[in-house]
Amino acid sequence: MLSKVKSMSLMGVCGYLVEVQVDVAYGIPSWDVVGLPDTSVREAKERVRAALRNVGIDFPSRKVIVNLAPANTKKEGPYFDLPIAVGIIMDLEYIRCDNIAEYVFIGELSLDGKINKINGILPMCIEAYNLGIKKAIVPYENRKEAGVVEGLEVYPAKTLSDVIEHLNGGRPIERYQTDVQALFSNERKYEFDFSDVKGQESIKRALEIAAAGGHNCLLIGSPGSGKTMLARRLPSILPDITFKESLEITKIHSIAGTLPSNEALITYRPFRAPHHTVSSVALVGGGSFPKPGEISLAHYGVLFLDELPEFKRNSLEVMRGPLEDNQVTISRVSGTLTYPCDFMLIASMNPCPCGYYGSKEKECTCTPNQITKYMGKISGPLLDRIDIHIEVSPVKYEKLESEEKAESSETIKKRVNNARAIQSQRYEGTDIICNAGLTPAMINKYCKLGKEEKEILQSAFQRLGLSARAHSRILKVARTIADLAGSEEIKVEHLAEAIQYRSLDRKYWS
Amino acid sequence: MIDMKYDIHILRKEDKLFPTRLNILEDCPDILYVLGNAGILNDFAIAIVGSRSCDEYGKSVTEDFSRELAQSGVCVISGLAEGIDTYAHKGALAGNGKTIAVLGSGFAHIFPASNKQLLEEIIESGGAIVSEYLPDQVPMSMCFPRRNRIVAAMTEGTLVTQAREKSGALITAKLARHYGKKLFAVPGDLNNRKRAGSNSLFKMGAKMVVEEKDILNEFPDYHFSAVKKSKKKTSNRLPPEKYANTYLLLQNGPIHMSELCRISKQGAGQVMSDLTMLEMQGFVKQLAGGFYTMI
Repeated sequence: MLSKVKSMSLMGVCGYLVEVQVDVAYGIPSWDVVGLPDTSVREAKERVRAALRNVGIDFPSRKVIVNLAPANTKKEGPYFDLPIAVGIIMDLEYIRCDNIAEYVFIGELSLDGKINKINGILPMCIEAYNLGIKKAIVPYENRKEAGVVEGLEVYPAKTLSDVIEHLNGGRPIERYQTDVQALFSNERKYEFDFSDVKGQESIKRALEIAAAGGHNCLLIGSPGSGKTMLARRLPSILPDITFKESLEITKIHSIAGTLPSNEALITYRPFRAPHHTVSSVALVGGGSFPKPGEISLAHYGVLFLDELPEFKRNSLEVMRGPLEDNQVTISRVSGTLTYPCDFMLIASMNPCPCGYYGSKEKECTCTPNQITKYMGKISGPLLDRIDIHIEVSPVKYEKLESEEKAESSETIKKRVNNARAIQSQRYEGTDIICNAGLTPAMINKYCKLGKEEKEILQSAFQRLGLSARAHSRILKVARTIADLAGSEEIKVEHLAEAIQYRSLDRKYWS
Repeated sequence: MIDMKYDIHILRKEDKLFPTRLNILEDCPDILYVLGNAGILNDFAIAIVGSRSCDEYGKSVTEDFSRELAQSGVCVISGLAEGIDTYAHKGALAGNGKTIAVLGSGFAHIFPASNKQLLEEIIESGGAIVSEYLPDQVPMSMCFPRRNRIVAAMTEGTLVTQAREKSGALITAKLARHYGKKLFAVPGDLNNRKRAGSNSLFKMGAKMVVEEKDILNEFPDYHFSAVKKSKKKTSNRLPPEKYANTYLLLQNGPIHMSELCRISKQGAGQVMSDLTMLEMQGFVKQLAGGFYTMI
């Protein structure tokens, strides 16, 4: 007898429908799974057999064949345990259910019949809904995530017996729905706030500009000057997250298994800080069964690379493309996947190998050659993608003690939100959402300078020894500064301030 | 083989252009290789030397002395090395004066490579590059102390602006003393012993100098012809009203831009913008690490 049960699998950040076909026939007893299963799918056999026995169903001594259709894509992961088990039980006629086609089953079984949590439930449920499937049976622990999909009836099941009872109509499982409105209306608090930061006004200003225009940012300073501390606070001033963004972030974290278990949606901007030993695959994503990398986990949030020159050169170079395209495409023999990665890059570095070049606290012991070499570890093309460079200096002890109250993240964020609103209005109908995305052609259109401003910029290049690559960066940052000030035109003071944020272009550095 | 943009002049000891001051050397080179203007080798010259590693103070002192000496018509000689040597040449170029670099290697192997552009600037400005080594001689550590003897002997006096305690510059200074040349030094910070190698020269009888006149006055017989009227900045020049507030915050010495933003009543953005304008108009200068100082 043949039974068909619907299930889902993952391809990149999208789910796709898999039909689990189970045939239990007379013949020499055997148990086969076909349809390009990987090891974890093949092992489902043993889990399903034990789980069935432990809920009181004897595994049939017959020829069992399970086909996962479409048969030409590789299947991985333990998602199919539940649908396979349900298929067999249907064949054995323990379940009588006419509307089985309305259901999609996703879940991993443990040997005692319990249904375990799995990764990637959100993208699968979204796709199931898009395909017009009405009901989903998901692991109990994944209920909050699955319940976000409005219109899909989500039934969280704790054990295989619950599923059987539910399908037979004996003891229906209660439908679960996540209150998305409540999630978003809650005051979203970040752990770190700018009001804790004493001093460092110029850096705070630079980060405000970075947040307002979505600019990548490089903090340069001696050890203990507060680079990491400042970067950690950046998410708290980034513009409010929208439902769409939240959904996309959650999808990626759902697949990667980094979603906190008690959260339905990620309603804050992620902050990822991979260690400098990170491999290029861990950074951009990949593997034989591709997984999203750190840059995708930082989607719509902040990727913080501490001690940038310590990162392996090739790990950094692979980021160049994704930084430009806001997505990363991974090609493997098994297929090509695309993960989104629209993030703000915040990097930090010391000014020299010993860390104290230009510092007033300690004397630098590096030779100019060593400094040049250290700087050379970061390639020009990567540096080209960083709009703002700023030098951080440690705060003196007396200032740490002072009672002065610094501006809170909330206040800064209001200004950032205003600037973003101006930008999204200006770029309506184009591909970009903020100034950081401006292409050369768009710079000519949106960053027009008056006569006086042009002269200032020209003389800045001559007098301050800026390199030519600084030109478009300065214009973009000046555009953001003007937006923050609510000014239609880029004025002299905006331009002059933008020039301040290009310290690596200054000649004295090398 | 060697791709050379400039002609190499080969000067033998008997040649008229050969620097006669070198004759006091017991091991005077028989041949000198010269790039650029070989006619200035016998001009009145002062050597400016110091450590390769120097700080902001050493840099500014060296550039100032070199510029002012060059403006007074003195030819500045140094070794085209990193640090003080580089700033000595740059200072002389800034003063539109003549400068000579004495190399410790052949012309095909400029060391450090980062100074190749400086070398071209020196030649274009009418200065000269001198070496006693064949053009394909690679730089070796033994070559540089030997180079120092030429630097010391080719000049009337040697000025040490900043040196570490065990600096090659001190070798040059001792050699200059040995050849009976005048020795000058700029006092270093006593608290920073690493950078105060020049102070030990005072014990050897070096003359302490605080401005270029201190050096020139030591040569009463020589008539200095200023190259150009020195365009010394007038200290009472004030920046436009608009930027005055920010400018005045700098009067107590170098200060970090974050600190400036904090003590200023204006917003951070305004201060940052003012600083750029002030810098472009030549009122303030940015130092390494985000510090600003008045000029």
